[in-house]
Amino acid sequence: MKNVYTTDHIPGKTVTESLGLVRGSSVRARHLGRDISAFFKNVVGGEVEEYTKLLAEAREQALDRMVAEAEAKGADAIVGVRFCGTEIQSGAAEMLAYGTAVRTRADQS
Amino acid sequence: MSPVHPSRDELLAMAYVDDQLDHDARREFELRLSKEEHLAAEVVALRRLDLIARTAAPPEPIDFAWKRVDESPSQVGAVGAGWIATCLGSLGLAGIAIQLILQAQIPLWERASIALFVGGLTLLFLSVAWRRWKVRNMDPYTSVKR
Repeated sequence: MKNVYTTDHIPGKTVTESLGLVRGSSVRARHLGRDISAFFKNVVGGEVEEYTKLLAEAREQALDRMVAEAEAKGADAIVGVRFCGTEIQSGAAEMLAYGTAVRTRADQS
Repeated sequence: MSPVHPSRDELLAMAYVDDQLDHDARREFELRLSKEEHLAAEVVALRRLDLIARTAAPPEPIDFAWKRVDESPSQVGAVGAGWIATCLGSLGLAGIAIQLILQAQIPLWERASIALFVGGLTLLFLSVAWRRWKVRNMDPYTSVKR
């Protein structure tokens, strides 16, 4: 399913059925070596690529888990998608993606 | 050159990743996934490709600068020497700690407690590291760059 929207409405489609909340979460960490490199980058400033990558990994995994839940419910789209981060562990990226799984039909023009 | 035709399992895996299987076929495929390692590896490989395509972004100028700096001999040498020195130093510090404990005038049961504690932590760490090592190829998200 590629139909993941942050909006509540999908242009050109009508939501025919709401299947409820779907969500996916992920907590990921890098290894100690990367954490040490990141620590030194934290001292000198600039982008900490180690954690940019870490956050991106967690984001994509959370997104995929949310989509998998929607697919299991028989949805063909997810609307109102949001991301949020939490703080569980230092040096780890925690991401939650959530939205509403829906069935849609194309509007007749 | 003759065309390469994907096998039935490869086609099924592609359909599964693209969510093109109906409910029953999906359930049946998921049942096979839990038992057939090669099929799970195929799905992971396809997911990895999907992730790379989905998250691909035009390179930024700083990417080329990072690459040049990271590949320069001075940087490679400094990082390599730094890690070697840090690892050797850590081993040396661990040796000093063991020596101090052995030389300390403490009862046997205290030494045994310390040995059990350190040994237990080492075993726990090794079990986590071994688990990670065994599933390292089944994690497609390591290919995500940013």
